[in-house]
Amino acid sequence: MLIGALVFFALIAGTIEGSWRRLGYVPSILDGVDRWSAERDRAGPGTIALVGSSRVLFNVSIPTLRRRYPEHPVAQLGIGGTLAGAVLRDLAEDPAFDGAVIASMRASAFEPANLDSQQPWVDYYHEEWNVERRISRRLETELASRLAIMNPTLSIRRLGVERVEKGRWLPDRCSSSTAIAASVPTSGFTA
Amino acid sequence: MLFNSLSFAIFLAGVLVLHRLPLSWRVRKLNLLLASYVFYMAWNPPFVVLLWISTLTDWVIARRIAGEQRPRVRRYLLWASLGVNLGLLGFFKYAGFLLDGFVFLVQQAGIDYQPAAPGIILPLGISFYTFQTLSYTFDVYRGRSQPWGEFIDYALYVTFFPQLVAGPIVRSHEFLPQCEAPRRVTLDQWTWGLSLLTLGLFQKVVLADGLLAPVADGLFSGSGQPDFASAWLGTLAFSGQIFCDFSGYSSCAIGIACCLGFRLPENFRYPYAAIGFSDFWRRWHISLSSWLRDYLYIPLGGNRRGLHRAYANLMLTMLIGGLWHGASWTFVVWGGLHGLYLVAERFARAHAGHLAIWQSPPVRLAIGAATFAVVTGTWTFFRARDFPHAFDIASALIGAATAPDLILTHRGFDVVSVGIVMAGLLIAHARLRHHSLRDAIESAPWWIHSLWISLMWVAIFTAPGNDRAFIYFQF
Repeated sequence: MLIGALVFFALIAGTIEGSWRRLGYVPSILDGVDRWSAERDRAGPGTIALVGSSRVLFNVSIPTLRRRYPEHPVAQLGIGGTLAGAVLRDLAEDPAFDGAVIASMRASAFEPANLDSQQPWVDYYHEEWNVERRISRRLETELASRLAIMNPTLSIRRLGVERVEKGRWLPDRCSSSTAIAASVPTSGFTA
Repeated sequence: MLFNSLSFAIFLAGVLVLHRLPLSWRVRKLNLLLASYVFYMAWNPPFVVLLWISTLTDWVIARRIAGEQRPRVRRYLLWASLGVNLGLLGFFKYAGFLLDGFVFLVQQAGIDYQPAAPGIILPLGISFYTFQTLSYTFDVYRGRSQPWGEFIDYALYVTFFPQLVAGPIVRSHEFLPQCEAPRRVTLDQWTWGLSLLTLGLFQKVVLADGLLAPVADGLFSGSGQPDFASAWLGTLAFSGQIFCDFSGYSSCAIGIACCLGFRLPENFRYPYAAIGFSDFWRRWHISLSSWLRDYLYIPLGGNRRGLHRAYANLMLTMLIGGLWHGASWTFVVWGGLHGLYLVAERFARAHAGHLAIWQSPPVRLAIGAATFAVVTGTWTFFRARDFPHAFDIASALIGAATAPDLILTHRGFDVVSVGIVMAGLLIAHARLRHHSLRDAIESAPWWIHSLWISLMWVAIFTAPGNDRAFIYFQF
C-alpha cells in the first residue's frame, strides 16, 4: 500500500510540477512571519535594515542595494499592510544592532492606535522564533525555491479564490521570487 | 516542535531509525525518553525542569502512598502531589487570571491598584502532563494500580513525545504495561500509523489552516458586528477548524505512536454526529472528558446522591473543564453552557426519557442537528476575545444583530469552501458513527487506500506553511 502511495504521489506531484512549469509558473516562497523573522536575524552589526510597509517591501531592489553596499548585510523588514513603529522601536532597543535604518514612514505610524501594528511580528520573533523554527524555515525555503508545486500563489485556496471570485482558472504569474501572503502571526488564536 | 514542520519530519525519521536498531529494549526506551526531552526542549529548554519536577514528584509520592498504611498520611501525601502539580499549573497558567480577579475586587473596594503585568510564559503541554501524572497518583492512592517498578517506563509515560504537548491524556494502566516487553512493529502497524499521521496532517494543514482558519479569523479577529449569515459562516468555519486542528493532532499522535509500536487511546469518535450533549462529550476529547468524570465528577459524588446533587456535580465539572482550557472567563462560560445543556438533557431524560418518540429516526436526526447547531454556536464563547465580542456574535447568530457591519459572505470562495468542508465532515461523521475508520479504510481495495494517501500528501505538500501552531498547544 505504501509503495503504491509513493508511486501515485510521484506521478501526481510530477504531473502538477511539470504542468505549472509549462504554464510559466516558477518556484516561490511564502512571505510569512517566519520569512520576516529570518530577515530579522540578519539585523546585526553594520546591517542596513529596511523598515516600513508595502512601499519599502516592493519598491526597493535588494540585489541592487547589496551590489551597491557589498560590505553591509541587508535585512528586508518591511511588512505589507502595517505601519512601522514597533519594528523601529525593537531595532532601537536591540544593543546587537548598530547598522543603518532606511525607514518609509508616515506620521500616522506614531499615533497610539497605529504604533503597535507590527508588534505581533516583533513578539513572535522574541518569543517563538527558536532553533527548531529556524531549521524548519531553512528547509522549507530550500524546497520551495526549487519546486513550483510549492508556490503559495498556487495553493488550493488561492486557486479556489481565482475560480470562484474572479472567474478564471489561474492566477497571474508572480514576477517576484517572493509570493506575498503576509498575515498577522498567530498561534492558533489568542486565549 | 510542530508535527507540521520539516524539522519534525527529520526528527521523527531519526527516532524511527533509532527505534528499529537491534538494541536492547531498555536502551530503545531510553532513546525514546531522550528523544522526548529533545522534542520538548526544542520549544523552550528551561521549561523541561517543570516536566522533571512533575515526573519526580508523582514517582516518589506514589511509592510512598503505596508503602503507607495510615490513611491520614496517605491523604497528606496525595495533597502534596496535588499541591505541587496544581501549584505549578496555577502559577504558570492562572496567575494572570487570578491577579485580574484580585485587581477587580480591590478596585470595587475603591482602591486604585494597578500591578505590573506578570509576564509569565505558559509552558507547553503543562495542562496535559499535569493531568497525566495526577491520574497516576490518584490511581495508586485508590488502590486501582500499584506504583510502577521501572523509573524509565514511568518517565516515558509522562514524556512520550507523540502525546506530550496536546494529548490524548493517557492513563498509566493504558501505557505502562506496553513498556514491559519489546514492541514489535508489523508492516500493518506501520501502514496504519503512517495513514493516521497523513490524515492528521491533512486535517491540520489543508482543512483547518488552509481553508477554515482564514474564514474563522475573518469573524473572530475582525472588528464590527457580523450579520446573521456571516456569523454562522465564521462560527461554522471555527467549528470545523477546531475539530480538524485538535482531532488532526490526536490522529498524528496515535499514528506516530503506532509506528513506534505503542497504542494510544482514541480521543475523538465523530463528535459532530452526536445525538445529544452527553453523547457529544463521549465523542469529543474523550481522554479529557473521561479524566474529568473519573477524577472529579465521580469523587464529587457523581449521580449517587440524588438528582439535584448530580446536576450540581455536572455543572461544577464542566465549569472546571472550561477553565482547564484557558485562563479566561469566556472559557468558564463555555464550560458552564455545556454544563447547562447536560443538566437540561438529564432532566429531560429523567422526566420524559421513557417516551418512544425519542427512538424514531426523524426525531433522532432532528436532535443530532440541534446538538451540532448548539455546539457550534457555543464555540463563540470559546473563541471570542472577550464578552462584548462574544455577545455581538451570539446575538447575530440568533438574528438579533443591531447594526451589522462585518459582512463575510461576499467572499464567494469562503462560502463554498466552508460549505464543502463542513458538509463532507458531517457526512463522514454520520456515516462512521457506528464504525471504526480502520474498518472503513481496510474494506477498500489497496489502490484506493494508496490513492487517497497520495492525494493527501500532494495537498499537504502544496499547502503554504503559514506558521500556525496547533490550537490546543496553548492549553
